[in-house]
Amino acid sequence: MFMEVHNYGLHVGSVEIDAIGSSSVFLIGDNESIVLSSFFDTPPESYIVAANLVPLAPPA
Amino acid sequence: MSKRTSVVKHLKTNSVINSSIQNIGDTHQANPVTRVIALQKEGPTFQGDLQFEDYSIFQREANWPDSQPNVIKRTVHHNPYIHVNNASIIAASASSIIHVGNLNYLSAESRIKHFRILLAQFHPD
Repeated sequence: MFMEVHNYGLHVGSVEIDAIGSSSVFLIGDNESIVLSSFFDTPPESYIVAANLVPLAPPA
Repeated sequence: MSKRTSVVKHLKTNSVINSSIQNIGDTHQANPVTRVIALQKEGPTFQGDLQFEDYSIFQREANWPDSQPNVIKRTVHHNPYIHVNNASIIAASASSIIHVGNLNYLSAESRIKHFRILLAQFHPD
């Protein structure tokens, strides 16, 4: 596939960001390639409602 | 590949923490990696420790796309500048990057595991 991009004016008035987290990037500029990989894990054993103080979950 | 110049009149950043970067200038390649275990626990004491080695999410290989997309891209910049009047950021955390300028290659990875241990008397289900 052949793709041709013509960029004319790029003018942003103002940007307000609360937070940028976990290997995220806020880029003002050009870029060639972005590759992202993310894992997010909260299995049942990670949410425990305990009658009393229970030791931490066994390694999963 | 011709690259443009970023012109930022006003940049306000409150905090840049936990191996985060605020970079003004060009970068060829960036590879931020984040590994987090977040424990929310009710109760007066904390016992036991959480190790990355104990949990498979942190051992698993990141599944990067294997092949490059076969796209031939030609970019023509008719205006050599990128203008941002003002940017205001409260916080950048956990290996994040605030970048003014060109960033050619970025490959970012993040892994997060949450533990929530709540006491029954506070959460009658």
